[in-house]
Amino acid sequence: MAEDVAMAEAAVTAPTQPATQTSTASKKRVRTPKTQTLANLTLRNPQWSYIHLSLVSAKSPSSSLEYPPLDALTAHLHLTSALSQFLGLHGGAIPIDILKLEGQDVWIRIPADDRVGFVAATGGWTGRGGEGWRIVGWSSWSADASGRDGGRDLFGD
Amino acid sequence: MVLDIGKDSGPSPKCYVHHANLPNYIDNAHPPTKKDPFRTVLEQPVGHTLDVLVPAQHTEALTTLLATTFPSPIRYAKVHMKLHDVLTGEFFNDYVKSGNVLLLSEGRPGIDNCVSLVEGVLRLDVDKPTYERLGLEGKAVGGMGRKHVKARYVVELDLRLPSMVRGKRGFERVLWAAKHVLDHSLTWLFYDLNGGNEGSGPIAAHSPVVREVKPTITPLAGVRTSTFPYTIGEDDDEEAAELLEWLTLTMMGSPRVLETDKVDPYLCRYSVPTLTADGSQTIQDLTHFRWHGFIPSQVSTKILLAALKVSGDDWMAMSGSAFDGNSYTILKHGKTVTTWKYSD
Repeated sequence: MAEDVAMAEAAVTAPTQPATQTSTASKKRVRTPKTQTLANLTLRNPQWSYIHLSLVSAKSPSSSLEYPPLDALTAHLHLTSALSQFLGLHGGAIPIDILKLEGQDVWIRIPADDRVGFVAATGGWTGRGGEGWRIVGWSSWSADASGRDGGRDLFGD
Repeated sequence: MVLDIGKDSGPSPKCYVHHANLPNYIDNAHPPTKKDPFRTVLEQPVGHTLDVLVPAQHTEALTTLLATTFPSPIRYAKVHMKLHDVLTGEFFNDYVKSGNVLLLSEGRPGIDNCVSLVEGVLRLDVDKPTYERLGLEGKAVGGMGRKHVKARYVVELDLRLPSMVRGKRGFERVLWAAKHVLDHSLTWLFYDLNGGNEGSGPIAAHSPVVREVKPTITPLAGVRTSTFPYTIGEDDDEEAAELLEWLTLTMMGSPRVLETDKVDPYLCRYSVPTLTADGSQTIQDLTHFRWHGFIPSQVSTKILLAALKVSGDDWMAMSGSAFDGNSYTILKHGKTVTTWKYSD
């Protein structure tokens, strides 16, 4: 008999207990996080290297203004010539994508693995007219390729 | 790589991409500091170039809003002085101790000796011979045991500490180092966060050159734009890299992203990526704003807020580069924001 009462009590209390729990849970304010992070990625192996080069002519700087602006074909020719001179067939096979031209400056894109060889090749090259390449900046991620020297001009006049 | 030329010994470059929902509510007077994209902007105390890209229909609204946000033009000063001048007299009391100024000396980070002052913390980035003569405690940075890379040292001193006053031993040592080791006259960029930067006050003694930072506004007509992916997943590395490439190409004004571009694939094989499954691209007119100068993060945040406000439900992008080679790019699209952080 006593057992039955206990059972009945248990039967009565059993459903009420979760009910009270849910009611206290619903009283709590549910806060949705204001900024939800959807994804975090780390890009490790850049596919490309972006390089900003400038064609420097051997003549005095004052006459450089008279030079016609660099065109894509000339720039490509000069760069390929520098590469094949230094690295042979392998250098000539490095694909160069010309992204932008401005005056004597050119912005290009090459496969990231070829960057070190490219820098060495262009640094040592002199054209038939005595012109050479100067590397202004390079970057693995930004096509702008301003690199670390982007703010240098602010210190000058 | 066929030949063994060009083994890059340095650490592999990394780009950190963060994709998140934009905060529901942004208080323009007190923008959030710990949430992207604001956190990313604030992590870079001062930058030299800031780019903003908005669809062309928002150009008018943005220029008007910027004019009200910055009633007086953004200015900074260029001065020639010695480190000793920073640590003594009116300059030290008014700007470093009680005020809040940003200072950066000339020199290539990681190569030359550089001095900067941010939030009252003086940071000396020096090579080993200079460090050994300084007589100040610092820590070694860079190099990491690599060949042909010289170890460098960074000394950080909080000049706002109560102990950093004339007569205390620690401070006298800093003064000694400024007088006997880093005693060259340097070119500095200066920004006073509490003042109008007109070249008045204690800085006037060093005859500063005050410069204004005005945006260069370039219209970009007919830009081939990919439909932005609705979300970027954890393994969409390629999409994230291609999107960053497209953003930086557009910001630099490359003709390769224009609809009218007819370059031979022999000269350039770049094509605007298709980032969604349906592969749709639109032709949009965009406007590019570029600020170039000594730009503190407080100014960048204001510009970001203005651009976010005018773009509404449309998209906008912003990119900032710092003197130490760190850069970020932010793309807001719909209710989400993606940030790229990279270093060159």
